[in-house]
Amino acid sequence: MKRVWQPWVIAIALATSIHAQSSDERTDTAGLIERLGAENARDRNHAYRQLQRERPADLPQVLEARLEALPHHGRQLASNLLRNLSIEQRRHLDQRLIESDHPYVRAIGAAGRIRLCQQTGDQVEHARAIEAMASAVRACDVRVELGAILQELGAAPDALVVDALVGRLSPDLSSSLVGQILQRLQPSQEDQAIESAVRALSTSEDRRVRAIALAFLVRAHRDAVEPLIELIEKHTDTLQPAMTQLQGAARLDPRLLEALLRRFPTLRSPQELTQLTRLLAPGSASRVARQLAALVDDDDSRMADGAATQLSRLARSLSDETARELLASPAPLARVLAADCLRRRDDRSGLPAVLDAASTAGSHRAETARVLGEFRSREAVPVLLGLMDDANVKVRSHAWTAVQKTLQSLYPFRRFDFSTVDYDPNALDRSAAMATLRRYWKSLERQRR
Amino acid sequence: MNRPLHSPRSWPPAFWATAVLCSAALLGQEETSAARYTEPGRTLARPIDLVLAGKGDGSAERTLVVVLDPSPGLAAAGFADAFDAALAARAHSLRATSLALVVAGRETPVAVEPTRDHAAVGAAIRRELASPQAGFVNVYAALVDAAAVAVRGEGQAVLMLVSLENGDLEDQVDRTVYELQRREVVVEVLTSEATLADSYWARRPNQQRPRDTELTGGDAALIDLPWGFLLQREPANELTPSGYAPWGLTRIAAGTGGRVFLHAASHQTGHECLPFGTCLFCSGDHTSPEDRWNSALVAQLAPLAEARDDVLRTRGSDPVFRAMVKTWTEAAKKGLLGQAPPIKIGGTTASPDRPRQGRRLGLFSTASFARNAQQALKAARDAAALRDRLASQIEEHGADGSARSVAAARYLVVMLQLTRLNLMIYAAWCRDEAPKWFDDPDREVGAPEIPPFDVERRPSGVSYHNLALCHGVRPFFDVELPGGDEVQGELRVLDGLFSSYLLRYGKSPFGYALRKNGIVRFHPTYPGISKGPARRRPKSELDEQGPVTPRRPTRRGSSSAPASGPTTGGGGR
Repeated sequence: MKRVWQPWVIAIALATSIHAQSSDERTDTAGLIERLGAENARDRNHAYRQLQRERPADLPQVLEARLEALPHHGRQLASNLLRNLSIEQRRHLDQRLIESDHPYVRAIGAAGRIRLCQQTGDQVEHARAIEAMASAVRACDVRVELGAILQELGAAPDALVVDALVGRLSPDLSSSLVGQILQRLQPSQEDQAIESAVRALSTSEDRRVRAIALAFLVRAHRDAVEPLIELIEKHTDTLQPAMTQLQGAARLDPRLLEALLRRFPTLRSPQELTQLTRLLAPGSASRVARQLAALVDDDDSRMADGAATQLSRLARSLSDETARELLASPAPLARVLAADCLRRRDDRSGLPAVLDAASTAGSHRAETARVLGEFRSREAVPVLLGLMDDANVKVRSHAWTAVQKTLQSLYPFRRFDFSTVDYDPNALDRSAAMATLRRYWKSLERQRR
Repeated sequence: MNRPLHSPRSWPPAFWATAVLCSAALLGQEETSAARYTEPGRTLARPIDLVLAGKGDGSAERTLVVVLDPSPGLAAAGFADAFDAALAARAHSLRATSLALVVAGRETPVAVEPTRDHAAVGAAIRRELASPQAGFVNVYAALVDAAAVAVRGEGQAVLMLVSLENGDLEDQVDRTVYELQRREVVVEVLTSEATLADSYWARRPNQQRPRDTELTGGDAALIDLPWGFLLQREPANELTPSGYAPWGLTRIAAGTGGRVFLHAASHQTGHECLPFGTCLFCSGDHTSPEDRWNSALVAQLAPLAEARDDVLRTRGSDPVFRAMVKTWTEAAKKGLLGQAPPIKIGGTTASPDRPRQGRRLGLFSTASFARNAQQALKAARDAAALRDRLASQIEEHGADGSARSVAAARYLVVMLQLTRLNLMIYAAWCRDEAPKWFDDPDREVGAPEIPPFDVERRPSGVSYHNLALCHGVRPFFDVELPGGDEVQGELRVLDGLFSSYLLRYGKSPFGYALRKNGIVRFHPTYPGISKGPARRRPKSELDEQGPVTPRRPTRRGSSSAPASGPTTGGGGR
């Protein structure tokens, strides 16, 4: 008798266990999705990462069921998860999301459909998706949801969506939102609707919004240069939003260019310095380089380092004339970078300036050692040997590399094993290695004579 | 009876009569340079735009056949996208144009007959480029096929040949020009830039290729710049962009009233001091001002776009060209060049000559340093004599020579001096450096220096590699070279010739070519340590393989910088 019912018991127990396990899994996915909407950021990020890692098979179905009920920040995280789904999974999900009454949910579905239709070439569905996106933009809560919808849009939305966006512009929007909207509009002299809407923004109480609007009009070749100049000169906090809006402008008005160049000494952060350099360098590398050269010795070390970094990047594209002018700069680093720029063009006239810079104290000495190595010059070797004993380990390290490069270039028929010198830039006592190198260099010079 | 196009017996009598008359007429004409037919720029968008736009207002009937060579390079360059964009932008100009598509290398080359459905042609191009074909493709045969399609359509017949890879595979170029002229077809060409006097295929005469074709590839109808200099690892000819298309394609455009457009991928315009050598003076960050070419100078030095026979005739009567070829021939006999010129100079003409190798001096095959030094010094004296003789001939006849011939001849003068210098460095190394180490293996050196080579083993020969002259000769004044004052003296002579050459030809392909040579550094070679060969066990193979299309070997390419082509400040898009 026992042998008859025991298998049944086992089978029933197994089936119950599987059912329980499945229920737990369903509950688990649903639970994690619920936690996406948690008040506590740590909690929702934890749930997000877990969902991203595990990618449960029922994620699309559960998301579809629960997306609308999530609070806004939860829906944003859910939207990120949706981007990892396959085309097939999204195809059906987006079809349902696009019909949602909730604008942001509708926008998520529309964005997915638009991407899919761009691949398949389905013009009819594409047009429907565009219409759904536009309606989502028109209907959404502009302060809460429009920013998230803009993330779904991509860089160059369709004309219908653009019209919807223009319809939502208003002077009392935040500068961040206005900036994001205008970055997605193509400035054009033909589009009167966009121009009217943006001109209305230039009356905003928020001067940052005014700056963004004026910068947009400048890009659209409208006469807004003078008001923009006046604004950025009067209020330094309007410079950064204006610069963001001006990025990508084909050519800046000369008056605006001058005004922006004058801003260099007033910049407040290395990020602003980088942004302004990127904006102006393509058209005015030499003039920007002069401004940066004046900043490399700034008292604020962050600004000085930022200027040095930007100047190093820019040095490659300086004109010969500007490079020669910078050879006389009061800032040693500017002289060194200018000399390096000329050297790359087979003009070694900057070598004396670099040798001179090596003898002055300052943060430029590491770069000076590096540049001396690139000259591969006999004159530089004694100076480099001195820099190998500098107090700064970065200077010593660059100088050591430079000495090796120079010796290998000047003596191509000899062979070197620099490990035999036993020099370590990090070592406290370098005297023996230094003595060996100096002795060797002296013997080479004697042989030359 | 249908004979293949390439068989001379198939050429009608009318062809011969026309050829004779044309040749007679051409004798009195001024030279026709490739510069006349080559447009500025290196992009895809502009050529497609210009060809689709045509020369009128778009109201005249026209049949435009795209002759596509669907190579991997063309697919990667985005030709399909560029073509579609141009179709959209030029819709108005194309309202009276029928487009067609012929694909080179296909069994059935006609992919789309002339049609007003331009999008269909764009779609067909996209399909073809989705599965590109590598390997050799005869684009000249495709042009003849395409001409037959073009004349079936309405209005003016125009072909647009798009081939980035196969312009160097020639198939009876002048015959093809005749056929196209006969059918009154204009050919516009979009192709890659050729290498200056390219010697690549001349070095590989046994390369498999499609039947009845020739592999050439240089910008000129003949290799008119000496190559294969002693003590240069790679010919500068193969590393130097020319600013022009392969001669065959230029000839096609020139002969039919068309234009040549060049394309270069952005990676081709990067600078490299010496691809197969070492640069002592930079870490790869060299931006030589000589790389920005002068359009006027490049045009002045352009190759001829005439028929090959006419080019030979013109060059054959050029006294500077004749002097250069004679010097080249003698230098090859003296072992200073590895290859004799592919041209024979007659009374007042020039004609093609079979490939001939230069004399081998055997300078490196043994480690008999004293003998090597002696032979090197003799060769150095020969180089000096040839150099001086050619220099005085240029002086005497320079005014009567073409600009290109004078540039090539002066290049040979400088290269003979460079070869002389390298031989003297070698002689000094064999005489002083190598014995110093092998005769005294226990010789001590101070750290960080170590013996320059393995002195414990017995050397069997010598090898070398090149130190780039991309930065000029002057930086070498500070470099320690074997040979002391004597070599320093020759270095200064070289500097004089080199600097003067670059002053005149710096911003042109010829100056570029000169900088792609090097001074030489030597090291001994040793017998290899080998084990006995593994036993080969033969086996039979039953599978039969069909004929295989010869594969095109990959090679290092370059293009004149910047990507917009040789300019004096402006540039193409």
